[in-house]
Amino acid sequence: MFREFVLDLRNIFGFSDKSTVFHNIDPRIKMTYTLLTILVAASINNIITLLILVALNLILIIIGKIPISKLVSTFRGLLVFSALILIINIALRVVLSWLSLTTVSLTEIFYSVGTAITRLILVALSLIVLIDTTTPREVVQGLASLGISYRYLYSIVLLFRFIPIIFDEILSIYDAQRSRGIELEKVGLIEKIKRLKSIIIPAFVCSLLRAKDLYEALELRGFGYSKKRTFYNQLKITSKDVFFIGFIIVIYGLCFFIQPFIT
Amino acid sequence: MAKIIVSVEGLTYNYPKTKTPALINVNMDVSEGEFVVIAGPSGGGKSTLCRVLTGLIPHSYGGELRGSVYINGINVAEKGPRSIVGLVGTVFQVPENQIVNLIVEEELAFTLENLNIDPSIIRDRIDQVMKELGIEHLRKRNTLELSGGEAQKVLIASVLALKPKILLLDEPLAHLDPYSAANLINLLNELNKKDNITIIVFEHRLSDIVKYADKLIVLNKTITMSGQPRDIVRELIIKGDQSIETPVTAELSHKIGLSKIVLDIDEFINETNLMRSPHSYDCRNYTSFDEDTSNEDGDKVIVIRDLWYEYPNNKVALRNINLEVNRGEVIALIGANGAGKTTLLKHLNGLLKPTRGIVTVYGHDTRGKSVTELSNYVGIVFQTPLHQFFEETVIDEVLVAAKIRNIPNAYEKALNLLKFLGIDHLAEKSPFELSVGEQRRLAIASILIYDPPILVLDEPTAGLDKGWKSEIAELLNQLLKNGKTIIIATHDIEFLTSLYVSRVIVMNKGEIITSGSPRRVLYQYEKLVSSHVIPPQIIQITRKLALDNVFKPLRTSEFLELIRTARCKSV
Repeated sequence: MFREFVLDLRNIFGFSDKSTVFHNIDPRIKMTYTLLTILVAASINNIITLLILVALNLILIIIGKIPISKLVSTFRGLLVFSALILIINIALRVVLSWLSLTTVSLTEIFYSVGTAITRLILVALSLIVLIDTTTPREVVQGLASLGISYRYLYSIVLLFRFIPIIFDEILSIYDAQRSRGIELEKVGLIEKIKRLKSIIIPAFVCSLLRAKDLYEALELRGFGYSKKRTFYNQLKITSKDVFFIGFIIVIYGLCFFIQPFIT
Repeated sequence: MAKIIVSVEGLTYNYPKTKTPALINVNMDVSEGEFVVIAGPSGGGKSTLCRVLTGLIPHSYGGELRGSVYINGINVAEKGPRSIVGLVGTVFQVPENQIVNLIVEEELAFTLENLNIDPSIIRDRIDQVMKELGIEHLRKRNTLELSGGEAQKVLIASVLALKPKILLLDEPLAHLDPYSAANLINLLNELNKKDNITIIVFEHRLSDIVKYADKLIVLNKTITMSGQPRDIVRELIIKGDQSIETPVTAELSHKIGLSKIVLDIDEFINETNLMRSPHSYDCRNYTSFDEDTSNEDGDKVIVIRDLWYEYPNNKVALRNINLEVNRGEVIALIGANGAGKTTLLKHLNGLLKPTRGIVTVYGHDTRGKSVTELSNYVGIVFQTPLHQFFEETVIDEVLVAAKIRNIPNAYEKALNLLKFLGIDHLAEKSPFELSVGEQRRLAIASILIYDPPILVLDEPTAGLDKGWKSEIAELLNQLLKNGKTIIIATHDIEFLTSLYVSRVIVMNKGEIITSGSPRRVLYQYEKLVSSHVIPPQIIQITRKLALDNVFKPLRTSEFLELIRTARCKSV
């Protein structure tokens, strides 16, 4: 379980170095697309419209040849959240009905839980497109072109570069500890929490050592040397970008306006 | 006379809050275009001096620095690392910790961008440096997917893109397998000879690199020796220095009384008159050495049949592995990084379960047993000791595995074990305060405490200097006498020759390429080379002398013995 969980997280955080249609779209456009998706997902309450949007984004993902394993990892990760939404929703409604504030029907619960989960999936899909086909540095470059200082932005790059490394390290630590009999899975909750320190402490120590190395590397390579910096490849919005975002705006706009009519 | 480009005078340095200095009165000069190797024991101040030369000390570390450090006329101790960006390219020990970006191309641009250089110039430089280092195929690759050797090359490319005058490397070979290490050393030599870049390498494994050096410096808090590599290596050998690994050819040329110390195999062949046809020796009666020590009929403690393993991302890591391990054997797994050694080891205690095939340990199928149960038979010591330590003291760390198993008299046993390993005086210290060699032994102790009959070690010599290595070898030989079965995965092939290995197994791309007694396997030159394994130097020499069809020495002492007896009978 622990192993699969960490591997999924690692997989979600990875950029895939293949070249797809989405790889060539301007990072600012892709960020706008993700932002629009989040806005639309938040403002639409109709499950059918949301499902249409999910289908549309899935088509985009298939066209973009984003690895299926990434989708699987993401959905497995979302399962936990989905279960939480379900439990909280039911609990909340049951409590409310006890207090006789509202009446509750099972269909209603399922409808609202379904809507929430579909919304979550929709947002996740657009994030996959962004994360999988944009390097964090391109995001930095995109935001820097809007005038935000690269010194703060570069922590995004470091996050994406080092989180997978740290996850791998946690797995190695987990294996090393299990090899001398520190089992995390088949023990009670309290013992489990106690034993978790056998993972957390080595992971912390190793990460500190990495952080020191990284700090030195940044220092020696002139990071923060001057207030402004150049980027070796210039960003330019092309007709392809305009077409893509125009298409998204039209579709999302349509969905937004027709949703009151769908029942 | 070439211009002095690095000048250190009267350098003494104390880290903050320490009384004993890390460096004492260091004086050295490096001329432009020189290739300098700085060797010395671990803890002798190599990393400290390297950080002084980059300006990180005292700029980022604080502490008290006396004396002067000038790089190309810049007072770097005063002005800090930013004063020499672009002039000095630095690469430290762990490649993956120094790569900042996710794409190789972005990494190469990184420093140039920071220095505000024009994008079109950056693009030209990237193209140029990729071509020079032959890494164009890596351009769009994710830096997380690079091998150690590739990562090291990308880092070097990223500093070369700045066109530095000096390249500074701190133990660049430590995380590479010997094959990648040899590649890197050749690259450094080329950069030095062709582009006249000054190279300064801090390294204690001199074997392959020292032949290219113009100057060898030995640092142990202060500079104890400095001069022509041949002279310094001779002194090291005469003194019997245990901290620095010298080339086997140097030791041989000293022992057979050549007039000069030879640092390179080809030169050794030329220098010796052994080149004469082997038929001029009557070698029929040469001393025979212990042959196959493996007992094929012993108790089989591990049996692996048709093992395949596929990672969740569908990458096949092991292909059709068949292996039987007898009680009391010492088995060595060799192969380049990524050959599947660690993946195979993880099957021995059930950390990984076969995708296909079967692994049994003392008759138990690993698929039906938990890791904890299997760990009672197979104790694995992994490559990085720091991945284990979480207790406050050394003794508590040893006791962890004993407590889980409710071993009686654990405390006394732990103390005895620490004594056996020679680290009992450290029992109350924090594991994090120990030296790398001590940490390695503590990691072994934390497994030995529950006395598993099979001990598995993954790269037990990683990061250790020669002295620590021979102590680990001694320890393993002792454990073998006590009846343990030992399995070692390593690319430190010279280390293997100091053990009583019964069988060597060569792996490449998840497959067993060949296996058998060390003498049989290590002389299969072509198979080793195609598996990216570099045979021990003694074997390369014997082979180049075309003597390998006559005798097959593994160690320097055997080689000398053979030469002696062969000479006696020369016709």
